[in-house]
Amino acid sequence: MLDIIDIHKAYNKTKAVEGISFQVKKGEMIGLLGPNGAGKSTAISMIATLFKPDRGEILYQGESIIKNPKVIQSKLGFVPQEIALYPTLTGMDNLKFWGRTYGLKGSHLKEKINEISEIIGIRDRLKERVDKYSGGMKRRLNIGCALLHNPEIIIFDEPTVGIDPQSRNHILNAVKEINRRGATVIYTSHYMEEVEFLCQRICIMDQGKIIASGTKDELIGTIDSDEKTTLKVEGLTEKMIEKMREISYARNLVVSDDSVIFNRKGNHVNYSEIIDAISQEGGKLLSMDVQKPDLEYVFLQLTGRALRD
Amino acid sequence: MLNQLGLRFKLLKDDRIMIIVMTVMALALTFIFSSSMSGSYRPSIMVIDQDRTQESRAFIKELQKSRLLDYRQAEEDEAIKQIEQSMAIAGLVVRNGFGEIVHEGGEADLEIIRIKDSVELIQLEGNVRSTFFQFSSKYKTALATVEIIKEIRPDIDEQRVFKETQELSDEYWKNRNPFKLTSTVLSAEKDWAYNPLIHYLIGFTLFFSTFTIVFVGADILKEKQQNTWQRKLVSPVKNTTILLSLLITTFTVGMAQVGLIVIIGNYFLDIVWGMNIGLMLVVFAGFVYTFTAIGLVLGGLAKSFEQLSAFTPIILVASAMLGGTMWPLEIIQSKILLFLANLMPHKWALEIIEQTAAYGLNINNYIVTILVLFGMGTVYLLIGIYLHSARTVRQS
Ligand SMILES: Nc1ncnc2c1ncn2[C@@H]1O[C@H](COP(=O)(O)OP(=O)(O)O)[C@@H](O)[C@H]1O
Ligand SMILES: [Mg+2]
Repeated sequence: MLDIIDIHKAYNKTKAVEGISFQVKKGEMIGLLGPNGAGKSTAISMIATLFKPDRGEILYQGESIIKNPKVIQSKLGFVPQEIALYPTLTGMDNLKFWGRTYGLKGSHLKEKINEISEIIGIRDRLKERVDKYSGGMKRRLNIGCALLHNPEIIIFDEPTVGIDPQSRNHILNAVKEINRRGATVIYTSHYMEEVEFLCQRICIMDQGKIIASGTKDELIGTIDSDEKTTLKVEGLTEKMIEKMREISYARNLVVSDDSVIFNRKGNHVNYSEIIDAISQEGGKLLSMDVQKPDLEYVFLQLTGRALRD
Repeated sequence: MLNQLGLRFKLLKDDRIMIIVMTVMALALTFIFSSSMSGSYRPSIMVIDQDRTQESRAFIKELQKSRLLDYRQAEEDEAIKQIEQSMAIAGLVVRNGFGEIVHEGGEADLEIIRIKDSVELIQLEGNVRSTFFQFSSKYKTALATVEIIKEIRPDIDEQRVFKETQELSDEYWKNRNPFKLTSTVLSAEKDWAYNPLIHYLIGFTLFFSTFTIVFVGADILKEKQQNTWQRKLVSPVKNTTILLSLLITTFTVGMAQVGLIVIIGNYFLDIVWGMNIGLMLVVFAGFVYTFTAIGLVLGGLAKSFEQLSAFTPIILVASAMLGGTMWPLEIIQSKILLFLANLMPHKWALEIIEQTAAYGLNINNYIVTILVLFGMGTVYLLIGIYLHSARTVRQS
């Protein structure tokens, strides 16, 4: 549905996006995950036709939206990172204006406003001026204004930045619901949990480039991952520990009280050797906790830096 | 388009303070001017009597009867000083030999000293001419009467006859004042003569309207800052529609403001603008159009709303000064300043209204002015559109 091919964009000297390519399939929810300044907003602004890339091509159903932005504009819902509303107008007036901007009229407009304000949960506040809203309410309305015209593709640019957990959950569920109803979603965030929760496919961005992409499992699979494994053992003996230390994939093994902690190296190993070692020495495995590496960890491995500072 | 326009008019309430303050200030000034204009303003003329004869003194007395001009006698040095300080608009020198000329007949030797040509000087010339004509014909009538009577009765008291004849013709002229006729020609509607206060009144009307216009135009920057501009750019609405709706709103508000002042001044405050109101509103439309476009240019050059708010008043005041709204351009000598004045829409709008008030409508000049104003506006408009298309993006 959307083909992003090697797009570049620089602001004066800052190279914000340096050669990004990916595809978006109809009905999917794709995430762009990366720290602040990675170039996420710049990349999706180009997809949203806000400005043209310096180089590269963006195709919507095979047609260039750089040459002809019109082909995508009416099909697209864009939720900008910054609140983009008229603060001195009411929520209702804002919705009406943006709805009409996309060609909605009369009773159809009214129905859509009802439907959308229900989904984003601001229905009982529509008559108030936007500058009286809390941050969370503004965020919700900011999203609502992009949804009225039943867009085929919706771009969310960090829609949950700086709001309370309740609003955040509401927004995440609303996004999921919108996707369930058939919209294709491009979602950017620097919160790993959000992207994990929402997106089937994830592109990890850093310094203007996509450094890895795939499903969550695929991404974790690409790195030589360590799993932090914690065993609770009844009747732990020196011999038992000795045996465990000899197992090749158990690294940095430490013991405290009745717990054995080690980093399991490699992807496709099973735990039978460990279990054998315990049972052969007459011990009893009470519990086993395997901490799988997350996307945060993937990012750390790929860049040597944390996703969030 | 309707949706975009509807939005703009809804958002006007955000600028209401600015709009109201500027309109009220202009209206208040109009009111003050109108009350000071009803008391008769008479430009001062310094009179220098070099002749110092009975005749010259009598003539000056005659001049001082004028209801339109304030003739004040002074020594030459003092008179020049007054003119240079713009306390008087001109000087009138009654040259040596004036008395003889009145006696013998011939061209009177009068000189008008001025710094600059101005509308009032036309009045002065006319006034001096008609007063002299009146004065000398009275004088000659009296002389002739004395001659005739002397032939019949040589023993008469010459002085008495001369004096009485003059007084009689004074009586006669009193009811048939030729200058009254001239002044009726100047303005067909009312007994009115050009009043320079009108200059300031129009000047300030224009000046205050520029604030409203430019600040309504600054809404683009406000929208860029609140990101709604970017949001509109990604919508299917054409950029031209967005800009056009903004320009139409700004123009309407500006016109409403100047129109209100013109109409209230005319119908409620008895101000005589000296030009047909319809024609005058077309001139103002040209002015408002130009400033709407200038607002667009300033909005394109400024980096933020705050920056614009900071430098706009300076630009507006400076351009209003250069354009002659604060004082008449007649008193300006510098060639550079006069050249710059031509680039200011104020100058053109003021000039045509004043010219029409003083000399009556000159269709050619009027059309040229309208073309200049709209032409200027269009140039600014194109620059403004270019600036806004060249940098549509300004993310925070
Ligand atoms: N308008 C701009 N002018 C100059 N530099 C910018 C502008 N917008 C973004 N940048 C820079 O471009 C880089 C990418 O920014 P952005 O796309 O906003 O990243 P993200 O959305 O991932 O936080 C950053 O280094 C940022 O400072
Ligand atoms: Mg961003």
